Amino acid sequence: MLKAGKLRKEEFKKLFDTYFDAIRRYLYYRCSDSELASDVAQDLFTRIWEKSMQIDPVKDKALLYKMASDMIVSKLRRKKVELNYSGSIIIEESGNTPETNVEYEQLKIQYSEVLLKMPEKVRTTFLMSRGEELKYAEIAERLNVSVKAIEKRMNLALTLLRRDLRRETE
Amino acid sequence: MNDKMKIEPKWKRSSEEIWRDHFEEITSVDKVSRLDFALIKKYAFYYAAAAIVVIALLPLLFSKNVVSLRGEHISCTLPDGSVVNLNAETELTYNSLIWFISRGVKMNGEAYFEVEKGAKFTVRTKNGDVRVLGTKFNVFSRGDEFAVTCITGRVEVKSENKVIIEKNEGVRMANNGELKLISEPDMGNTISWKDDVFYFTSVPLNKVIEEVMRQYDVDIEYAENNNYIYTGNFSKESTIEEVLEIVSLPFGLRTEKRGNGYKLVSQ
Repeated sequence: MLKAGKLRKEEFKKLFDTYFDAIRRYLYYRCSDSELASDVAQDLFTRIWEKSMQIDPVKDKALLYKMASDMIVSKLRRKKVELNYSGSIIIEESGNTPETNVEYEQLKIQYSEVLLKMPEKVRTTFLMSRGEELKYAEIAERLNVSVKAIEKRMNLALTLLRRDLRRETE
Repeated sequence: MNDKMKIEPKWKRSSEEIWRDHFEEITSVDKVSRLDFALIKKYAFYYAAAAIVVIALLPLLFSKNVVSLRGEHISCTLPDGSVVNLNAETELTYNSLIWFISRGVKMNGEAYFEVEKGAKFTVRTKNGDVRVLGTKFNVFSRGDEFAVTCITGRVEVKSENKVIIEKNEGVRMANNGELKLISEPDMGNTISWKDDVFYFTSVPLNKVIEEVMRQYDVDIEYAENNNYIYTGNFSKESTIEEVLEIVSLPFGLRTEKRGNGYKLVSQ
């Protein structure tokens, strides 16, 4: 009994290490509230442990994301959240960085606004691709959709970005 | 330009911290406890029944009983540090579980209390109750006899009526059950039994004999149909024969040894 318990704990720890931050990020893309995302992720993993759910880190990742999605949906139904990503946007250093902080902040706000214009699924997919550098196939597996669908979503996201950011910065 | 932009949520706690603060604990609780929980549900009725029995018996476990036999004096310390001296043939009962909610003892016999200051302290006897806050006092309750003497502080004695006595005052229950104030020049005499000295002032002889029987654990045969009143004292340092001689001499009685006991006969 004890040995089985120890083994179960090791498996759970592995699942946690592999997916906790990914799930938490995914939830953040959905609600733009880091506290809420953390809480829901913690609740989800607590539930997995308490219900002794057998979750295979490879086969069942779509299930993990589905459960997280359901939980955040029911949370957001009760709590109205104003989406705003500007606080967590970072701009990597490159040759053509904006000259002043004001411009820098403005860019963040614009970027956030574009994100808000995207349909939910498009935004989530885009941020998973951009933020975590996941391959399309990997995102498709996690969200349980076809790679084609991911490609479509990414195209739309990039089109929106190109159109809005170019117009604003020009 | 937009390739350089990324979303990086600002987490208050890292996943390692969340594991350490939350999951380390819940995963350390072994699954055995969950199985036990199922069993508990199954036998809930029996557990509940057992719990009720235990709860019902709990006060009995904490019920303390102190008994002094004939010829024996016992000193006992209560949970709050108050000291009770039990005279011979006295029974004292208290509950240490509810002691700190309500200080109180049941008593039958004679006892001298030195109560620590604090909440109300009650001595219950079958003849009446004595309430104090923190004083020294003596309670005598045997048969229908009930007497309380206050050595220091204030004492409330309640039977059919209520009397508050102060230092060097006492009450005694009269035949009609009413508490009557008594004042003697030296109230210390009523508690001198602690030091094995017994004073009697105008006490019926049979009561004196009873006290001798209690203190020396002997049987004394004695014709009670008289109204001898005794005033005097004896010390337990004397032998039983000496004491009986002191007590019986004024009434012209003589002591005869009868087996393990004695008999007082007219000369």
